[in-house]
Amino acid sequence: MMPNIIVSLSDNDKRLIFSILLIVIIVIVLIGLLGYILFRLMRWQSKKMDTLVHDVVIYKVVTDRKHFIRYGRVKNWAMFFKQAYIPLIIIIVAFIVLIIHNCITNNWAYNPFSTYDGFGTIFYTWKFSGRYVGGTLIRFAELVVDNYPHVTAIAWCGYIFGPLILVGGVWYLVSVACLLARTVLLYKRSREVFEKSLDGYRQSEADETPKEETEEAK
Amino acid sequence: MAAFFKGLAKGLLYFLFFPFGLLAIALYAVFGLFVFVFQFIKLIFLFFTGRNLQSDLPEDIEVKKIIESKKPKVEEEEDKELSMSLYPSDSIVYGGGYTSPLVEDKREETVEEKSSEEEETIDEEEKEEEEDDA
Repeated sequence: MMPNIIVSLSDNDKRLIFSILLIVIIVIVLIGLLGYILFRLMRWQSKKMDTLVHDVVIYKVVTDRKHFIRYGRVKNWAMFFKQAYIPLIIIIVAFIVLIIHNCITNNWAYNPFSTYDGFGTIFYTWKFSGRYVGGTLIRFAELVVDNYPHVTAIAWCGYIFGPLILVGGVWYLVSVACLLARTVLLYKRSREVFEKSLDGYRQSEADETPKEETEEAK
Repeated sequence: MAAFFKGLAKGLLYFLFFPFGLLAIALYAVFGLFVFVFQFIKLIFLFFTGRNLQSDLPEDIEVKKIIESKKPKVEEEEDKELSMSLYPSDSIVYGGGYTSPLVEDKREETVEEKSSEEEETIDEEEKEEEEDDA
């Protein structure tokens, strides 16, 4: 069955299959790489939580789980504020530029990513032509270039808004990922640090030292 | 080969869990906005009390007190050691200046070496005299 299909594939079909496989592999590699970077970043940031709560645990200022979580949360949020205020300022500036543009042009339906008068003008964009192309077995809707990269003066707002919102957005998401990583480690540490274990403990075999200690303490 | 398959499996895991991770981060981003606004309001209140978000919490102050209470003892011990090492010796200090403890130590070593050499020479002389007497 399988050889018959391969024989019946035209050159165009083979080219299509090869290019589809190539695209799939590239997409998997890129997403895998992004996931790996994100994972490493979160692991690196989670270690900062240890630095934040180290002293209060070592000097036994914080002695219970609830207090530990409350203290860690305050420290974590303060750190998040410190990390996130720059990207949020960038995002706010981007929106101020957009509002100014809309006020000047009196066009509140303006799309800053438009390929006509927005950030999209500097990118290639494609659209479906309505025709189908391919070999004898595999056929696809044809894509044609919709926009060639070009610069126009009317898209000035898009050129400012687009990069600012992208940089600010990605930066903010990274700081959120760091906040998430630190929060996860905070809860993990709260379980580990105050864990009490009775593994291998036998009350019948235990000596009287704890009792004496408590009497002394009294 | 095993390492290759391990890497491939890891890559697939990252690929499979990336959308979920992204979704979690996107949801947390909304929560983060609320946190940011809360922190901003808190910052305004703290500003009027002369503090900021990085100011020490009561727990931090307590830790600092503990650290400071331990610090003077160490410094006192260090001072004692320093005063011991600066004890007047028979070495000549030119210009009445300060001689470092390290220099003092070296001088003491050289004095000790010299005295041991002198003792050895005295012993040898005594042996020679005894041999002569014999």
